[in-house]
This record gives sequence, C-alpha cells and structure tokens, in this order.
Amino acid sequence: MIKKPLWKMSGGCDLKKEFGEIIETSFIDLPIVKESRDYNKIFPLKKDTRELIINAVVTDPLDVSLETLLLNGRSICFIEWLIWLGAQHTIKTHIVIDKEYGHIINLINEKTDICHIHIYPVTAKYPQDNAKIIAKTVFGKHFPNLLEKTEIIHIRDLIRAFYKNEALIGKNDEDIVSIAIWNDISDRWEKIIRRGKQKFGVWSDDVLNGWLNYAQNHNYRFIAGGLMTGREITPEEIAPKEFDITKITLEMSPIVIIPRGDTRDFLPNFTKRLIPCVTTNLCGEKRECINCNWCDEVCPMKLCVKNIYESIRQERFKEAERLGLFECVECGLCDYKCPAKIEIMETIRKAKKIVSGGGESND
Amino acid sequence: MIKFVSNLSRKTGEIIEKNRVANTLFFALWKATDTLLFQPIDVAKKAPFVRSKIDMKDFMGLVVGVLAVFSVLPAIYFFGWQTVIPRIAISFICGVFIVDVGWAILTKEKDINEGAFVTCLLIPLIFPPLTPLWVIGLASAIAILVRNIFGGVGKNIWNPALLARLIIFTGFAIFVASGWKEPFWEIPTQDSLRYGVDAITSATPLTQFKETGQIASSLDLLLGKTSGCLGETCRISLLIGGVILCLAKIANWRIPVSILGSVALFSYLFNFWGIENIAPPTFQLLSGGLIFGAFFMATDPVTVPYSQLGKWIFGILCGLLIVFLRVFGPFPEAVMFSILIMNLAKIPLDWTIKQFALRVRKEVN
Repeated sequence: MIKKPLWKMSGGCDLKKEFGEIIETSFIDLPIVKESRDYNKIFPLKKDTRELIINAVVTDPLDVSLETLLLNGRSICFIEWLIWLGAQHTIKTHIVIDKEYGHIINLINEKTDICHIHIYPVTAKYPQDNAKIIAKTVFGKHFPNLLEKTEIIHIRDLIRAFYKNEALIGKNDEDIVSIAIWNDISDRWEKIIRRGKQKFGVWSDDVLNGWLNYAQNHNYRFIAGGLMTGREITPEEIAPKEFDITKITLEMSPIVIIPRGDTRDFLPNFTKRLIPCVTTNLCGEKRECINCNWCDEVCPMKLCVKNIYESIRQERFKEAERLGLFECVECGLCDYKCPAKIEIMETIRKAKKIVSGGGESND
Repeated sequence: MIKFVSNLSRKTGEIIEKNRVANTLFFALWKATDTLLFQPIDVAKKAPFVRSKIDMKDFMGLVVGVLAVFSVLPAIYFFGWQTVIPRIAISFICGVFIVDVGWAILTKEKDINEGAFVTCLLIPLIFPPLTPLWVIGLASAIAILVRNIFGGVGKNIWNPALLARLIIFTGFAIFVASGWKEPFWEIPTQDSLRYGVDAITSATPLTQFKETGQIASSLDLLLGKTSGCLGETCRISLLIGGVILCLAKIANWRIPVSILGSVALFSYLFNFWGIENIAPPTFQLLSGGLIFGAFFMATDPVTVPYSQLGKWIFGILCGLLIVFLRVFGPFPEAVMFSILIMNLAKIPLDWTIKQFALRVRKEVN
C-alpha cells in the first residue's frame, strides 16, 4: 500500500465549527437488510480510465441521501467496491477521505491490500463536492491536462456509502441529531449522536413519509446537487402527480430540503446569530464591492477573485482569462463569504460562456 | 408588537412606492430604516443557496461599535459628553440625513450605504475637541459629498474623512487652531463627565516638540493624559480596538503593522544618522494621530491597495512619509497627509502588481 503524505486544502470553513462534533457513539438494535451489487452497473467506468478519484469527504450534513430514497434504505458496501476496484489493475485510485473517519481509513488499509489505491486523509472543508477542487489538489496545478483519462466519483455521504442501512432520527426542536447506521464490520447497528450547532435541512423520515406534502409547503426549497454548487428542483419537476422514482437520477444527489427563509425577522443583525437555522436567505442587501479581500482568502484555487470580477465587469475578458477565469471551479465560497452579497459566481459563469464562444461553462 | 411594527413598516413602504413624490423623497430613508429593523426577504436564486450571516451592516456596524467603545467612551471621560455627543450628532445629521439622503433623492438612488455611518463617526473624532459644531457639520457634509461624487462607497480614491479634514485644516484653519483642550484625568465626577476640564487651550505633544523640543512621557501619551483630537488621545484603548478589528478581519493587519513598523524603523534610522529635530521612536509611535490613523483610517479597504504585497508597500511608504513630513514638513502632524498621498498610490500599485502577477502566470503556464 503506497500512502502519500497528508494533504491539506486551504480556504473554506471548518465543518466542525459550523455543524458540531460527534460526541457519542453506541450500539442499538434495529432490523438488518443485506443485498449484493453489480458494481459495474452502479459506477460504470469508461474502458480507458487510468486514474480514478473518489471523493469520500462528508459534505452536507443531515441531507437526505438518494440512496435512501431510491434503494429503500439500502446502499452499496463501500469496502467491497473498493476491493473490486483495486482488482482493476489498470486504474490508479485516489481516495480523499475525512480524517475524522480514521477507523474507516484503517479498514480500507486492512481490506484493500493493493498498491493502486492512494489514500488522502483530510480535514473536511466546505464544500467538498466539486470535482475540480479534489482533482487539482490530488494532481497538483496542472490537473486539466491529466483529466483526459481520469474519472471522478463522488461518494456523497461516506456513511451511507459505507454502511448498509441508515435512518435519521431525532426531533425538530432539538439540536441533537441521532443517526442510526449499520456497521458492516461489526454486523451491528451503530448510533451516532452529533450535537449540531445549526439546524440544517429537515428530517429524512418526514421526507420519506410525506414527500409530496412538503411540495405543497412553499416555505421549503428542494436543492439538488449540493447547496453550494447545485440547482433548485421543484417536486413538480420530479413527481407531478405522484412520487415517480424513475425520474430521480443519481446526479441529483444529495437533495437538501432547506427552509426558504423569506421571513421578516426582527433586528436581524442581532438575532440571526442566536437563531441556529440555515436558510436560503441572502442575509443582507446587495452592495458595491469594498475590497474586503474575503473572497480571495476563501478561494480554494488561490485566485484573485476580485480582480477577475472587476475585469469581467469592465468587459476585459482576455485579462480575466489570464487572471485565471477558467481555473475557477465555481465552488461558491466567494459568494458565500461576500458581505456585499455580490453574485460573483454567476458573473464568472456568464463570462466563461462569453469567452468560450457561447458554449456551456466548465463544470 | 413586533408584528404590528413590521406591518406598519411594510404598509408605509407600499404607500411610499405608489406615490411618485413620496417615492423620490422618502424611499431611501424608509428602506434604510426597514432593513435595519427587519430582515430583507431576498433569497438566493442560484447556487450557492446559503450565505454567510455577515453583511455590510455587520461589517460597518462592528467598526462603529469598536469606535464607540474604544474611542468615544474614553473621549467622554476626558472631555465630557457635552463636548462629544453634540459633535457626533451634528456629524450624523449633516453627513447622513442631509447630504447622503439628499444625494439619494437627487440621484433617485434606492439605498443609503452603511459606509456613511463610519465616516460620520470618524469625522468628529479626528478634530480638536472644541472645534465649532458648524465646522464638524461642514466637514462631514464635505466627506460624504466628495465620496458620492467619486461614485459612492467602493469607488472613492481618498479616505473621505481625511480629505474633509484636510480641506477644513487648510481652508478653515483659524476655526480649528484654538480647539485644543486639556483632557480630564482624575476620578470622574458628574461635572467632569459633562464637560471635562474647564476649557484650556493646550498645544499637542507634537506641536510642543516642534516648538520647544519637549518630549511628553510615553505613559501619558499611552493613557491619554495629553491633548489631542477628540478620539485619538487614549492610545491604549485604540490599540485594543484596532486589534479587535484586525482579529475580526475587518481591518487588514498588514497595514497597521507595516505603518507602525516603518515609523519605528525610520525614526530609529533618522535618529541614528543624527538628523536634527527628530523625535525618538517611542514618541513618534505614541504621539499624534498615528495609532488612530494606522488602525482606523489607513485600513479603509476601499482606499488601500488590494493585493497583500501592495498593502505592505503602502504601509512602509506611509510610515516613511510620516516620519519625513514630521521632521521636514511645516506641520507638526503628518499622518493625514501621508495617508492621503499614499491613497493616490493605490491605483498604480494595484496595476503594477497585477501586471507582474499576469506575467508570472503566463510564464508558469
């Protein structure tokens, strides 16, 4: 087993500070479901794939896994799949995995005794669900050239990929989340209690029981593909009359159901920090750029975001391209951090379309 | 009660929007009040769908808060609230409610920018304590007007508060020359908190040094026992406030570090080379408006270079200018001139560093 040294990603936010740490694990008794898989069909790889990057870093906590919705609570056995992958000798596999799950890393080391798998334990930063962030960091600066024979697979939630079954239990008015997961190694159900500092999304059992009821409730929005880089979907788009499972694709994973947040809260600048709830509210008004530098500090690609933005606004697209317009991976962190609520990512996306002659922007 | 106020505000907004004259006159003011009291209902339309909870009101509000605690409160102790509060009030009335709102009406803008509150709080703090009220009002009006003429917040070349100070100090010098006052420095009483010490005009430490070579005690300078502008005397509290702003990343730490570092370095070197009329480094660092200027004026992100290297160059050159002008210039204080001169250097510095970065990227790629 070849192991590369620890790799750190700069920029972003500390997930533990935002969403709390695991404070307790214990074993409980819940029913067991087992099923075998044809991995080639679940994650079909192209014939000439030489490099494979598996992003197994936890991204959106408390989201509803499509695996749970689509497969009636079953998910693949991650380790078995890795063993199968390792047997594909022509593919060099890189796994980026959360340092917090050290026991899983040890498990991968024990069970996949193949030198084609390289593991990168990282401290999770938010977001992690963007292919180019991972690829650039694994391959270094010149990753675009190496992407020709590389595929990137996201394991949206490692827990759900690794463990056989999962269920999300808890109460809406508490900030303590209990997650019951099946531990494939010990053949037992494991209960993890995470004290969340922020309420995030809604409980999956509510969604599983009443998907269409939430469609009627306009206070919630359905975001597919991650809150930072995804898109909004409407239940009508997926299930116009009844819940049609075939309309949901894996690319929509994860689906986060998040409060809209269009409420007139009193004295928001004082109270919004006391209310531990994440919504899609802009949390402020749009203003002009004041050169605060926060977008630069948070950019994982180390671009000079403000200069690119100014060049685009002044329609100096060639200069924007030279400053690294196409190196932007559209992670959305600059938008997230900007106190002036400027739509930087949308501006960059439009500029990419213009520069590439009206084609789709790189993603 | 909150729901009543919210509905009242919303209905007021609807009435104002429907009436053309009311819309022109009152919309900006109504929107500023409404968004201060209640959260705007705008949601993110595209990714990212979540945003940081810090907005421009928080950004500017923290600066106002730090100034209020670490500059205004000591000023009230030293000079009395009858000296401090009316000057702050007149600054806000003239700068925000007359000029900024008037500008929004004339140009049909929908927003009153939060930056005006920071500028209007800074103006009285950088003038002598006994500056006439009308001069303070005029200064804040000039600051906001000049900022708006240049394009508003984010587009001004010079620090608006310092530019207004320069105009007043050069064009209306006679009205500020006798505005100095000795600070109160004993156990506070009701009278002292009201109007400080009976008005005694006293030269500032820098003026005293320039005229007689007398150097004030470092402890006196640090604690605010010497005369100076309204908000710049208690340097220990200004240092604490400045560090808070740097830790909160509102102010970029590179600027005060480079300014103070280069003032210390160049005053030491000038002393070492035996240049006449040069004060020792500790006196240079603690006298005048250097601490206030380094943490609260020079860190205005709009008027300093954007790149980190540019900020270092800005700070070092600013410090050199301060020491140079204090020695060879006609005025005892030089922080204002140095910052304003270096604000001019922002655009060429940014452009040069950008061209250099572009060339490096081209060679690497």
